[in-house]
Amino acid sequence: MKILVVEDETVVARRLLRMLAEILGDHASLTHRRTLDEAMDWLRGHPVDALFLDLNLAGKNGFDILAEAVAGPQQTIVVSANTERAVEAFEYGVLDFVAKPFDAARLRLALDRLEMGSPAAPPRYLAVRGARGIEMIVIDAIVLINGAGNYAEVVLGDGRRVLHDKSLDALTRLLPAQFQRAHRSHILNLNDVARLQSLPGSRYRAVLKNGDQVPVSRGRIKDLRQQMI
Amino acid sequence: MAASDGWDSRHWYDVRFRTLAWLRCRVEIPELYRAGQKPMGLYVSGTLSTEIWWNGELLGRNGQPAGNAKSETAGDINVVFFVPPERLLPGDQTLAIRLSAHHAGYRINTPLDALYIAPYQNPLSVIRNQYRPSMFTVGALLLAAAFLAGMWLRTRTAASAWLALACVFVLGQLGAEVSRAFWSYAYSWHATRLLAVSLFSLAGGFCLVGYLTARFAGSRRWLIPIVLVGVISIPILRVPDLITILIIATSLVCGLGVAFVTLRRGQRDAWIALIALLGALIVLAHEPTQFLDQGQFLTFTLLLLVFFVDHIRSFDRTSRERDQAQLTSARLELELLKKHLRPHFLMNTLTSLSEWVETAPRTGVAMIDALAKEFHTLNRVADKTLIPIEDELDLCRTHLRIMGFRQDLEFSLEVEGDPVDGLMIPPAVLHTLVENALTYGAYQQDTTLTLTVERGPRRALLTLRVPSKATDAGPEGTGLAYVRARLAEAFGERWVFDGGPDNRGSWVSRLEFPGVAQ
Repeated sequence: MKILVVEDETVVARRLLRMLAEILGDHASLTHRRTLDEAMDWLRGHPVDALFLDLNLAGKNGFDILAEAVAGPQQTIVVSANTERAVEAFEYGVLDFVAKPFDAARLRLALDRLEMGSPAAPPRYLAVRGARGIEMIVIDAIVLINGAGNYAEVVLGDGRRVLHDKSLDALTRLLPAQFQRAHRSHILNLNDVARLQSLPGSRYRAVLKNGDQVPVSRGRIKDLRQQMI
Repeated sequence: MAASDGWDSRHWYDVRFRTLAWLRCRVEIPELYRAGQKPMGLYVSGTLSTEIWWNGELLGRNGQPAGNAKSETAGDINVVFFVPPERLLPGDQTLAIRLSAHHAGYRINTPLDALYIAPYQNPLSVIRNQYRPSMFTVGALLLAAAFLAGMWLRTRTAASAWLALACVFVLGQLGAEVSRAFWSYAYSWHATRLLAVSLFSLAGGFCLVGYLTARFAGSRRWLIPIVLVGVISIPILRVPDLITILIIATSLVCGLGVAFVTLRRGQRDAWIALIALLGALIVLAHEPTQFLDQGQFLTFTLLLLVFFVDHIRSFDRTSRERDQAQLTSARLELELLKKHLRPHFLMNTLTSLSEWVETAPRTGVAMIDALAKEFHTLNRVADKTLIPIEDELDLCRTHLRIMGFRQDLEFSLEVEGDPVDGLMIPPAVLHTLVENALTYGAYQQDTTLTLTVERGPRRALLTLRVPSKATDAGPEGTGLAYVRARLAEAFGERWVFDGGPDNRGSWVSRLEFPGVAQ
C-alpha cells in the first residue's frame, strides 16, 4: 500500500510514519511531504492509495487544501487538530478524520476503512478538477457515473458531464448507498432510476427518469431490484 | 411701609448717628383699628434699641436705648408693639421713638429697616412670607447634596465632592439668611449673621468654581480671585450685602472663565455650564440690590441643578467608557488564553508530546516542563495591561522551546542593545510576533530570532528580526490585531507598530512605545 503523509509538524509526521510502518509492515511504501505543493508534485509521478493530510499547513486554509486532495484519484484521510471541522471534511468526501492527538489503534481503524474503501460518514460533495479549478458538486445532483479508463465521467441532473480522477471502484465505495454499481462501467443513482427492464436474451437495462438507458449486468440485476423496492 | 399700613413718612429724616436719638412723627390711623375690628400692631425692625412713646405715653421698650454702648441693652431685630384702641386719640397720633444703635457692629445707613402699622401678629411670620419662595429650594438642594455625597463616597471623584459642598454651602447661606424669620435675636447678632451669609457665599462660590475646574479639567487658578475678593472685601468694605454680592459676582465670572476656556479648548459639553452661569449673572446684574433677598436662592438652586444633571450625565458617560475599557481588557485576556487552547497549537503540541513520551521519555518530560512554564507565565500575565519585559521574554523563549520540541529543532531568541530592566510591555505582544514568525517561517533548520532594544529618556524601541522569505505584508497574519489592541489598551495612542522585509532575508517588526519604568 502506497501512502503519502502531508504534515508540516516534524514530530507529528515522524509519529504518523512510525505507526503506519509498524501497522502495515512490509506492505507499506510511505512518503512524507511538508507542504501540499510538494505533495502534489510527488503525486504527479507517483500515484498512491491514500493521502494522510493535515488541514493546517503553514497557516493555509485547510479546506482549499482538502478540495485539492479529494479531487485526486487517491483516498484521503484527514489527520487534524481541528475536530470541529470533521463534519465538513466528510462532506468533502474524505474517508476518515483522525483527530490529533492520535494513537496506533486509531490509525489501525483508519487503515481498516481504507481497506474497505467506505467512509466513516457519507460525503455531500464530489470534488472535480475543472478548467476553472476545483468544483464541489452536490452528490444528489449526480445521476450516473460512467467508467472512462482511469477516470470517471460524472453525469449531472442538468445534463452536464464532468470528469473525476477516481476509479469507479473507489467511487462505488466512497459514495452513499443510493449509488449502486449496475455494470462494469456504470454507477447509477437509484433515486434517478424510473424502472428496470428485462430484454430478450437475459439482458437488462435501467431506464432513467431523464429517459437515458443504461445497461445492467446479469449479476447485478437481483441486487438492484431489491434496492429499488 | 406701604401706604395702606398707615405710615406717614412726611416727617421722616435721616438718622445716621449712633448716639441716643429721638424720632418723632405723626401717624394716621386707618378706621378699622379705631373700631377695634382688628388688634393694631406697631412693627419695628432694625439694628437698634427702642423706647416707643405713643401720644406722649410710654407704649413699650425693645432693649434699653442709652447714650453709650455700655449702658445700652440691645433690642431684638424684629418686634411688634400692641397698640390698645383706648390709647388712640381722634385725628393723627404722635409717635416718638427714643433709639440708640451702639451694637450694630458695622457701618449702617440707617438702623431702622422698617416701621409700620399692621394687624397685630408675630413679626417673624411676616418675614417668613418674604422668604417662602427661597425655602422651596431647600429640599432640592438637600437631595442634590445627599446624592452627590453618596456618589463621592462610591467613586471618589473630585467633581462630586465639589458640587456636594457647593450645595451644602448654598444651603448654609440660605439658612443664615432665613434664620432671621425663625429666630428673633438681639440686634447685636445681626452683623455676625450677615458675616455668616458672606462667608457661606464665599465658600459656595469657591466650591462652584472648584466643581467646574474638576469637571472640565480646568485651571485651579480660577479659584484665586474668589479668595482674594473674600479676603479683601470682608474686613475692608464692612457693608455685608455688598460683600456678598461682590463674592457671588466674582464666582459667576470665574465660573464663566472656566467654561469659556473649556469651550475654546474644544470640549463642547461646557456650553451648558456657560449658558447657566451667564443666565445667573444676568439675573444678578438686572437687580443687584434685590438679588440677595429675592432672586438669589432660586437662581442658585437652578444653577446647581443644571450642573447636577450635567454632572450625572458626564458621570454616566465616564462609567460607560470605563466599562467599555474593562470589556476590551477582558476580551484581550480571553483572546490570549484562547490562543493557547486553540486546537492547532494545543493538539499538535500534545501529539508531538505523545511521540516524545513513547520514543524518548526524557525529552518528553522536558517538553512537559516547558509547557507547564508557558501556561504558568500565561496565567500570571494574561489579565495585566503591562508586564515586565523579562516575563514577556520568558514567554517567548518557552514558546520557542515548545516549538523546538515540535519540530525537533533549536529555536532561540537573542536580546541585544540597551538593558531591559524596568521596561514594561503589554503581555504577549512579542510572543505573538514570535509565534507568527514560526507559523509562517516554516523553519526547517535551527533558527535564531533577534530582538534589539533601544531606550531613550521617554521612548523604547524594540526591533524583532526573524528570518523570512516574505517580501510583502502577507505572512504576518492574524495576531496583529491583538498586538495593536494591547498597545492601544496600555498606551492609548502613544505607540508605533510596523513591519516589513529588510531585503536581506529577514522580516523586521518595530515597536515603539513609552518606556515606562516601574
